[in-house]
Amino acid sequence: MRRPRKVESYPEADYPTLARYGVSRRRFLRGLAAGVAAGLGAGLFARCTSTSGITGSPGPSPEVFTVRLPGEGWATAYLMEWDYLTYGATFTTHDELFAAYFTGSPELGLGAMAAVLSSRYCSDLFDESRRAAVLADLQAALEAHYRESTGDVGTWILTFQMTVDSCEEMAVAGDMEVPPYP
Amino acid sequence: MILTLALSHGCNLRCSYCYAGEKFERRMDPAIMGKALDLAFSHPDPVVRVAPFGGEPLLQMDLLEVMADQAKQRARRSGKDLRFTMTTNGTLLTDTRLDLLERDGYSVTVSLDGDRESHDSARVYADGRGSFDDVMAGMRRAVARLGHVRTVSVVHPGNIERLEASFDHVASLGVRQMSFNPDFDSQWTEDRVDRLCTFLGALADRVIAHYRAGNDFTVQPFHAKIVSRLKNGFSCADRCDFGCSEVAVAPSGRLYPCDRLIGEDGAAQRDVVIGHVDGGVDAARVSALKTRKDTPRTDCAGCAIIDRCQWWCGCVNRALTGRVDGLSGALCSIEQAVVRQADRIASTLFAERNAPFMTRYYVAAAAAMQGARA
Repeated sequence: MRRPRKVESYPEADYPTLARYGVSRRRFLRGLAAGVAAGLGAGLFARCTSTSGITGSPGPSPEVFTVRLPGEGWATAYLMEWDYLTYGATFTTHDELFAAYFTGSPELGLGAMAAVLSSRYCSDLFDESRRAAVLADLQAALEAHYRESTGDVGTWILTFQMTVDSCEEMAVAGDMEVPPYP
Repeated sequence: MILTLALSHGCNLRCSYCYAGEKFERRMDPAIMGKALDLAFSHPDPVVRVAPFGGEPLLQMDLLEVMADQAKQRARRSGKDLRFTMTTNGTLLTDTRLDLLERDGYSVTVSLDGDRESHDSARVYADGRGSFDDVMAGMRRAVARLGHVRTVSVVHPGNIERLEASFDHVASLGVRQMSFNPDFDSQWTEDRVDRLCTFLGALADRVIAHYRAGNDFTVQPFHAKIVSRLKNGFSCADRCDFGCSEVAVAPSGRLYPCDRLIGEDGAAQRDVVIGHVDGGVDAARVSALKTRKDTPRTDCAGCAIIDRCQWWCGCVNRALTGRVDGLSGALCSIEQAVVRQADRIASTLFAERNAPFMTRYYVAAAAAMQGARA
């Protein structure tokens, strides 16, 4: 019987990870985006609750909604769908530069996903008892991402909220179910 | 939430490698089915996937109707998204049965072990007759009605050499989601593992050629490994969570972490029972099993591809070693071969900027490239 034998070293594959490729696979789901934006206008935060009927596709715009709230600064709402994770994120900030940095750029998507992936606790977002810690990590990651990119030091995000609609890992461009075994 | 309902232990085939064990008639009582569905719909996941299983689920049309009614009622009450999936042996895909599958929007996977020689080497009726012709007829009807079916092909020591021919046959049917999965219940001796690894390389060559011919498709087990590279390794959510968001229910009402662990639902399976529909999931039991299977193995410490290995699959581990936390040298070798071949496929196609590959794995980039060309 063969014994397990670990791989001591393995070369970097010659095809990039999604993050390294620089293309966020996020999709802004227009129908829900409108709902999020409406919610923001009405009461600052909105929750996305369902992706039913949404057939988002990779599209150039609009991928980010920004809403100017008098007296409150900026609020930005994102709804993102990676093939295995759909979530909405809203934050408020008084800092227009911070808002502008993320608005219309893939940086929030990449920064957020980096945080989610590095946390390795996707399912924790469904766990109320552990969710706060994950969100705090995510918020900190966004702040850090901005700090590294701009050199500015400070706290920009006043409030942050995230809603996960689904977490179906592995389904890249299809709905192949996992695991592949048996 | 994935709820697998083993509607019965009965099947019209006697596949040599079937992990479900002996075939006998014990059907799921509708009351048990209802409790199982209650369990699934009480889970916080907004999507409930119901997967009738068996035995052969298409032998139980009356139960499929009951199941659909019960599930739809609960979906309406809860507002949850309900989806049906089924893996069938494909021999019973008549127009009448397809009516139900089409009506309820089933995602259908047909067990087809490749070409005739490969398929009929294991997938036979009780009288020993091969089922290939009937499956092919069923496949044709299913594709005509449903538009698309997936296939799952079992690779066992008796058909390893047919891997290329099997791929060619399945690919020729226009299937876009194929799985070629090792039968981990077989005895994987050193020689057999080496042969499998060799033929995985040949299969990878076929996959590259099929992409180069302009086809859009995925092939397991390579697909999962490519994805694991794109994502920088499997995350915890990729792991089957062994009873947390996936439960398999035997006709008796006993709960298992996975359909492949139900077997004959007898004494040999008691170590992996995680509850009963009457009392629900035994959280402590699930936690204990999950902790065992998800605890990294000492022998794997420092392995360069551990993030892309499925060492945490309790079902495979149990099939190979008898323990959900067992570590098999055969699995280790096969996983390494699959990772290497998956990377060879993806590296080759990425270097060529193969359009179907780029579209499937780098969707946004491909869309942008198309826009630039336009």
